Amino acid sequence: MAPEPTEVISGGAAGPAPALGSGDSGSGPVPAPPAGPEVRVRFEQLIAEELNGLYRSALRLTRNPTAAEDLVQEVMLKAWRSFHTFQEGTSIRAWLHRILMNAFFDSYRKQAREPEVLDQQDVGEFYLYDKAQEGESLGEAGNPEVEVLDRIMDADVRHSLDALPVQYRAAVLLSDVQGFTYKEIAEMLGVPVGTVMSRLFRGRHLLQRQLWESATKRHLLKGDGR
Amino acid sequence: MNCEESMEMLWQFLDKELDGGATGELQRHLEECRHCFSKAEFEQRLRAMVRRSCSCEQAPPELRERLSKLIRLF
Ligand SMILES: [Zn+2]
Repeated sequence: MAPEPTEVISGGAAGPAPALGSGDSGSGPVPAPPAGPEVRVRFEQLIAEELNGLYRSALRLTRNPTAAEDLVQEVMLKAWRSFHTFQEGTSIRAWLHRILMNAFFDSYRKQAREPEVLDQQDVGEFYLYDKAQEGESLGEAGNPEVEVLDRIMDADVRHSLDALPVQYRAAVLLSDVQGFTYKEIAEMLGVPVGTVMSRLFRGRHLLQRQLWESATKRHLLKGDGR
Repeated sequence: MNCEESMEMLWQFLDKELDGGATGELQRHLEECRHCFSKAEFEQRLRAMVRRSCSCEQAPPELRERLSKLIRLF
């Protein structure tokens, strides 16, 4: 599938996203929140389960621990206020991430920065793999491509992901880290599935290029560095 | 399915977003073609690595406490 040639970032999740989890909720209209202690206990339980995952996503989006905390706080309060609209039996993680993406891109748009014009340089289909195969010097025996992966540090991965333009970063984060489906991501970002795919695939290309660069920069790999 | 076609669909395959027919065809190609199999394996490992690398940070305990307090207020 062909990636979009150029994309100018004007913010992501536009407008109210459609309700998530159209499938199997089945329990009719949602009653107004009693907001009694038992509801709060349940919500607090959810927070305990979901907080780390949500915080990690916020950290990748904002790239700043303080901003990530603020964002998570905003999201959790929004979630608490609209908890009565959450449909039992659907994914709470997807629901929270939809609120997260909306909140993040809302404030991202308000910051009225220069639109981020995305890199148009083409990258190979499987950049890292191809690079690893080229750099045969590094593997005397066996699998150069496996060695490449062994030498990349966790911090390299996070830094490389953080270096991507925000729309690509969001797509890769939601798919590769959080494991959401294309359809779920499309709902979270308020874009068609085809757009999700092109951002995701391009984001992966860029991530691989970034990984290769950061790994060679640290002299962990004998790439040609060019 | 040839190599080019199978590699075009590789990411959708790994994302479990291909329909049954295409999945079967791609799987058959991967069984027969060492080259594509090796790429597929690489992409899968890379993905596991991305997920693992981004799954170790913990929310600060203060955030958790602050949230509990705020929820009681609102
Ligand atoms: Zn092949």
